[in-house]
Amino acid sequence: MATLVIDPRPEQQGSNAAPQQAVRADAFAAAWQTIGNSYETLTTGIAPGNGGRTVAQVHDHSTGGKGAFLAQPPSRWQGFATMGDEGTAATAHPFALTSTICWASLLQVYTDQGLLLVLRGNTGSANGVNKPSSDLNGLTLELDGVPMLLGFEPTGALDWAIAVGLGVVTAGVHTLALKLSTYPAEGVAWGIYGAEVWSESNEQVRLDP
Amino acid sequence: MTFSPIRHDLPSPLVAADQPLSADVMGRSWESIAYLWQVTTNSADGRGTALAAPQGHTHEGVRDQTLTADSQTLTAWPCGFGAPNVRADSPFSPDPVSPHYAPNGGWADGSATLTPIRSVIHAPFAPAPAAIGSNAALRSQVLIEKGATLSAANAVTITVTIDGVSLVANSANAAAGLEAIQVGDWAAASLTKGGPLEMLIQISVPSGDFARVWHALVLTP
Repeated sequence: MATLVIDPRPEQQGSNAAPQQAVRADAFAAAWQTIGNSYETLTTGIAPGNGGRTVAQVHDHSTGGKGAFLAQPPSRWQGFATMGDEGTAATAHPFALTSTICWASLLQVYTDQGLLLVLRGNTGSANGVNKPSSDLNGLTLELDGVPMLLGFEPTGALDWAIAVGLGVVTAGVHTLALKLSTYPAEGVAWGIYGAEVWSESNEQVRLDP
Repeated sequence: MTFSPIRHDLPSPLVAADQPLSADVMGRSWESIAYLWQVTTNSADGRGTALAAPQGHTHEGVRDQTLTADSQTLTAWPCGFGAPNVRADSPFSPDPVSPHYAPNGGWADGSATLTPIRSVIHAPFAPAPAAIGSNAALRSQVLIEKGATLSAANAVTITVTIDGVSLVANSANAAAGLEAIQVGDWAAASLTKGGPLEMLIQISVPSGDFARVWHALVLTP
């Protein structure tokens, strides 16, 4: 393996390192390459003064490391939660419950930030209300039990999507729930197959490389 | 000038690109190089004091090139999730043998321990000085819904198994509705490895109680 060795010293000594002149970052970059990329490939053993380190095994962040979970959204749900069944609309709450939770998810926020929820699903095939819509008065999207403003997005006939601005959510664990408190007479039928929450400002954590 | 794409660059706070260094460092080029060497190898701190333990690591497994790459694990960061398959409006308990072929309420009713979620999470790697490749500390949160007031506040038992290591926690509130149950922590390096790991979520309740799982996530505590 060829290793490019860049010696930063002549440049520094010749120009950059003259008295009262700045050492520029380029010189440091050259030094970085020299000592970092080259030292231990050109010598045997460890770097001076670094005897306490451990070298367990070669590993590479690009194949499985921090980068793989950097892009995790604060919440992701990809199960399948149906209301009603094929050909049969739902008309009653389970047991003696006073509302039906159509969908629920945890929301883990690492630092206070504005968040946006997108909830999506497919249209039901039963007689009744076959997608969440503003016609359903008893339908609420709740963050920690507090109703949020729902936005029903235009989609094709077979799918539906809801977008909800959650506002600034504090760090910690929260719950999200799509709740139906009152069934229309004809019932409802739909499926929910995905939900994600993302930062409104597309703020992503960026760790050091 | 070419850097390896998998090799750490200079820490930006140390040297901003093409900017003069501070006046204190100006004109002391060789001393600056020595400082850079010491800091990047972590063999000494910025004052030249020898460090008791090395910090950071390179991608070759040599801990001599970075200040922070392996020394911090972000806290409270979700790194995996799981979601079930349920018919939300149904009061009927699922078939524990083939729940996905007979989707229904997803309710555990005391007749069997259900495994509503089987997922893969991504455990971050433990920071030094843990063994390279071992997991960072993990915590799971499981969201359950109770179909009726429980017979006891702790009636719901949630078992989370990550990479074969099971931890258990119980509900804390008997009231019907949603509850998030924390399971864990898995201590750093308690699992044999970081990276992609299997996660199972199981739920059981006493006979007569009803509860189901809606979501589970794993985070770094």
